[in-house]
Amino acid sequence: MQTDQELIDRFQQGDESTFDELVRRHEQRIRALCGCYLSDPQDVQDAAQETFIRAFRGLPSFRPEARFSTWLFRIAIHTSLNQVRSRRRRGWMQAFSRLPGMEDQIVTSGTGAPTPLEEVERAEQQRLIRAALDSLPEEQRTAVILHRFHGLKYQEIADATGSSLAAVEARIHRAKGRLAVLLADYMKE
Amino acid sequence: MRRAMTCKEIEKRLSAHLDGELEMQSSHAVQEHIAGCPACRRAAARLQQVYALLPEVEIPAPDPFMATRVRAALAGKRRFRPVHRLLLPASVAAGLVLGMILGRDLYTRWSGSSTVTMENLEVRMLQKVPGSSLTASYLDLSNPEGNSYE
Repeated sequence: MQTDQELIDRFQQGDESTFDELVRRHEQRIRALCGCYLSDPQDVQDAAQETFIRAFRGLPSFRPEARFSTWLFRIAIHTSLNQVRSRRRRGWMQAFSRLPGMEDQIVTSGTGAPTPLEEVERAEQQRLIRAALDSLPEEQRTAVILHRFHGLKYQEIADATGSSLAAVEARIHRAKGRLAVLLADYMKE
Repeated sequence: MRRAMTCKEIEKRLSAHLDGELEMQSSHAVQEHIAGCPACRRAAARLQQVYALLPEVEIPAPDPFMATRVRAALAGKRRFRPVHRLLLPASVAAGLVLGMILGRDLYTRWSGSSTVTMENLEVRMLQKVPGSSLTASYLDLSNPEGNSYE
């Protein structure tokens, strides 16, 4: 299987068909990333599509100083944030699954299925956690999204956001500190 | 001998240490400090819990038509581009038509008539015609009631 860079090299030599393979490889993660900024599925779809449109136009001049995926993330972040600002709405898509590690904290009714009260408590906890994430300054939230949800290293986050490594480290640290305060009720001593 | 880091200095690097982002020497220094400092140990434990509380992001199912839609969008943007080129001349033409309509309206208001018609124009043109002229005879015939044209 050809690497991303090999596909890009062929694209830059005139073989535009390789772009389809690049889209196929990265579209899920890009949609997941856009979904961290946009709540409406159609908006997510539009932002992801726009990301690849911009990538297609920028690919002729792409230089491999950073990974293609990191460059693509950068475009997706800008596109998603532009859409958020234009709609003046921030939110999290319903793609967030159940919270990990919650099962041992909830006393079930004995049948294994959560009771209605447990479901309400869980939904409220998820709402508060999403609200806490949403309350982070944009740069801190982006850093947490890329690090926690997309597994990027600090340097990759720096490349994707056009920031310094020290700035990324500080943002993630401050974000975690803020979340620790906001979510203190759910933390064990 | 290397100076020991203060709690304040350690605190700033805790997240990077926990995330495995520090170089080995710095990471060892932080680890040694945490081992001997209960306050920093508690701070590290709190930070470690934060990420555990956050939900996972669902990776959506593959969209096999994304590339097709991107291509179509790119082709559509190219195809529709000529329309934009027509906007300028279309705007100019619209402006001329609007100007003519407004000009006619202004002329009407300036001339005092509510309606400019060919009939009005004809009347004004023929107001001062010689009494024995063919035009005067025509006007007499077309005005049996003797209404004044003035």
